[in-house]
Amino acid sequence: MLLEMRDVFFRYHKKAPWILKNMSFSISNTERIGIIAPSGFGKTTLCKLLAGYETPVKGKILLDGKPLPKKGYCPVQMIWQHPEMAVNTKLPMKKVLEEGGEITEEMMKKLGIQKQWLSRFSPTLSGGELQRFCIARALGGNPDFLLADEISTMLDLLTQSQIWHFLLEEVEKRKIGLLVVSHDIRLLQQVTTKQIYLQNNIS
Amino acid sequence: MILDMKQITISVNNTILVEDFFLQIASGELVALVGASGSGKSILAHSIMGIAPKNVVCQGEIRYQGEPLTKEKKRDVLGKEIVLVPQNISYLDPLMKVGRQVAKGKKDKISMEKVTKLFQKYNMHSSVMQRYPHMLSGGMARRVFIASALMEQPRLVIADEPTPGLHKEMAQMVVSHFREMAQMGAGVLMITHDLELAMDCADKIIVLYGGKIMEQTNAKSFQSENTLYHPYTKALWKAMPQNGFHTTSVTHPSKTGCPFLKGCTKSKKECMKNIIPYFQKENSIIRCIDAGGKEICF
Repeated sequence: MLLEMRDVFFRYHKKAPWILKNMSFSISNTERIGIIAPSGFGKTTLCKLLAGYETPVKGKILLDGKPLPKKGYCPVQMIWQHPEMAVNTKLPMKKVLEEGGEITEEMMKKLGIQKQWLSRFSPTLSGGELQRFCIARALGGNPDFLLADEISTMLDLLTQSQIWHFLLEEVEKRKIGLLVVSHDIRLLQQVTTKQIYLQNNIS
Repeated sequence: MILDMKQITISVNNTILVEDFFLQIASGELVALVGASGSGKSILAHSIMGIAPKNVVCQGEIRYQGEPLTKEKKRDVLGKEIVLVPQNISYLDPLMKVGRQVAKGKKDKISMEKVTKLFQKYNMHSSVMQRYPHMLSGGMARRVFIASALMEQPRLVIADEPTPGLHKEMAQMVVSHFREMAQMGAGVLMITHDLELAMDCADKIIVLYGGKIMEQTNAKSFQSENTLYHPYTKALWKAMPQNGFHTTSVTHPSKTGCPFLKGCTKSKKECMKNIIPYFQKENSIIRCIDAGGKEICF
């Protein structure tokens, strides 16, 4: 599997400045790539484009040479920086997990999701607790690629390393390509095999 | 000593959240309180400020500049000498312009001049004063909080998670403002989950886990594993990406005995007991029977 971004130009509306200009990039499902860029570069926008939340103004996003599916399950899944904005506040957490498909008990245990949390609603959980649900949800279907956008900033060190170890194990086992966006260079060196440093190329 | 807290126990509906907590902050000192989410950090700050929900019961002794911090005393000093730098913009009034909130409703010339000066000091254009809270970026909101803390002459600053969502340089800048306040003679308590940030800036670090203090030590002790004594602090140190990125299987603190009971390789029968004393060793105070050192009481 290969996820490709080919000569992509992107801006949010016609009068807005270009966020990405002539950007090309590819990742295979056996790779783990880290992205480091200054804030405001458009790292989140880059992820949104790759996961199909936004469509490029010019250029293409290709999965194995074909465009991303417009309907149904997208094999490119994104884990967001702000989990509290990524879940429906009106659903109990059990239903939120079901959005992602089947989640095994073992997975919940490894992520440290407690059973009593399942009946609660998202505003009553902390950021760190919610992020575990979001990770479980993203892994629940059968993604070929995972995009992790600053997913561990709200976690303490021990939880951070636990969650990353779990994620790396799953990614290896299921042959999922992983793209990690973070400010923490040392973290990226631990969890990815290749790091890309991006510089502002926008005039 | 600006703030002296002893034997603090905080509970909600008979569930104990924080147990046997102590804290001493001197003038010019920056103390970081580090802990995982759910370890009871914010409730501590809110209890000192007296803004915790009504069903939160805080027992123990809190002394501010040598005197007990009673309700009457709180009325005089809160917001003036003791200030809270809150976690997010939901603590601002969404319907009031930022400049007026920093001035605390005052409209006289001296106050307004001071607000303008503070905004300049923290690199905010004077037009920011006319904005409403939702028009601020994350970093700007932090600076607004800091400016409003400095409107008075704070003696004690309590910062509740001042940096999440900010990138590293911005976080360091925010923290440098707290350092400045400490240099002006205030005592600063910074509550955070970011141990690395605490290592960079604090004088003293208190590690909280499951509502209990695991270890209090100098920030320098975190430079090497050998100067840390509690198994939990050691585990935290080893979990840093630059120190091996080790992991443990424990996901939640145990409710009885030492919170780190399940993750500790040296745990004994005595660790199951509810009351584990503090031990002093060099500059550290450790709550672990295996740490060695002299037993102390508060």
